[in-house]
Amino acid sequence: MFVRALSLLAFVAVWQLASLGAGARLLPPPAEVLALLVEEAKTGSLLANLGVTLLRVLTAFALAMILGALIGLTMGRSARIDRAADSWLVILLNLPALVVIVLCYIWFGLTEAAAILAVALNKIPNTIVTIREGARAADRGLDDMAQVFQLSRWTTFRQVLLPQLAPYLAAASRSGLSLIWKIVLVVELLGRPNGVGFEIGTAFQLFDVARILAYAFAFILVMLAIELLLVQPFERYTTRWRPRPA
Amino acid sequence: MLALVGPSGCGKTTLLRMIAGLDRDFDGEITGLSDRRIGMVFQEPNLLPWRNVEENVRLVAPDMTNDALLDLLANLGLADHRRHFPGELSLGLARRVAIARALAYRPQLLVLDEPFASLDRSLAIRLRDDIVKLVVDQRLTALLVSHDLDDAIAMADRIAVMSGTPTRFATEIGIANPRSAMTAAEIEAIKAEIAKGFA
Repeated sequence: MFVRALSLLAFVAVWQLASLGAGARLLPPPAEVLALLVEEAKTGSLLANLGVTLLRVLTAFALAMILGALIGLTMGRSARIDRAADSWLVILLNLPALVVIVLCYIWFGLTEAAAILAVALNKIPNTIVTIREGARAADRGLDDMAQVFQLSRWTTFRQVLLPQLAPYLAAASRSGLSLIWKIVLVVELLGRPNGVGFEIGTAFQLFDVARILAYAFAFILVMLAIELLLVQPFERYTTRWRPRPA
Repeated sequence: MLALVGPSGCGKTTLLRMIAGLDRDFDGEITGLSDRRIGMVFQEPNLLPWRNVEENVRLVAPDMTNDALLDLLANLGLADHRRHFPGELSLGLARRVAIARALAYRPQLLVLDEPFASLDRSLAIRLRDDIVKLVVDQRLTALLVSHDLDDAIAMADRIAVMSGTPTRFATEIGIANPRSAMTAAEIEAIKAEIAKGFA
């Protein structure tokens, strides 16, 4: 805990020094960014923009996780489906995020649905790959066991398969959240009238570095809270049966 | 109890998997089992690592009363391990849990696939005696696969000898006084008869 605090303090100090060297216009000092953060919070625009962006992040995340997990599970369990769908997956994996976003906006208009779809499409292939790996690594012996003892499909899924997938789901959601919020900002910059990405775009045009940093940090704090309060406890819960390394 | 013996690779486990319905890609049919309620003890314990001993057994017998469950665990020497997770158990104990699970299932046929493999001898003999007692008490029909002739002779009413490529049943031997104490000479005589089957 002490090391962590010290390291954080060092970060702020380096920032302060760099700001002195580069000038407050290129890199405003920490105090100025904090003051702007407080001011934006008071007017309510910070919370409104954070809320809008967070809602987009969570919607796209849920969509990507559910679809990606279903497809990944199917591909991991069936070699034939895997072979059939694999080339599609490779195409989707290597499609640049920007291309997906621009195409979605062109085809479906500058709408909320198009924005969410574009973000989800960027994450779905990663989720598929991770969950497919998990489904492939699933213990065949436990499958045999479930079959011999005639466990129902639901019991097999809930008791046998899902616990084996849990670490993969946690890994996919962790890398997913950070990827998704970065892409959401791009989507907002290109075609939404609000949100953190839109604010940063405006600040870019005005060369307002303090505002860019303030919004970025505010959102990093939100994501950190999600990681600490949701993702990590979930991971601890699903791996509680595992002996812990000292 | 029928014991199936034969050299490794002769198809014992494959036959078990066919009986258990895990291997369906074969010609011919398996008769005599009305509802295929098979309590299988796999070579690997195949327990759910994220469920404790009691939950692993309950998984296949949700309606079992608490008393019956405790009885069963006690009979297999698992009373003190109810709340342990499989990762905390030795292989011998994990096998015992797998056997408890197969019995809790109230099987029409109990299938034991090499239940003593990689256990040290004294542990294997203790487990063997416990299984024999449970099979006799509950009047179960059981099928044992083993490459160890001593185990087969000590447990079975009949021994079926499988051999060679292509796999066939070489011979079947009835044991005169099954599961009783036998002299070394009697055991040797049965072994000689089995050896004739391999030849």
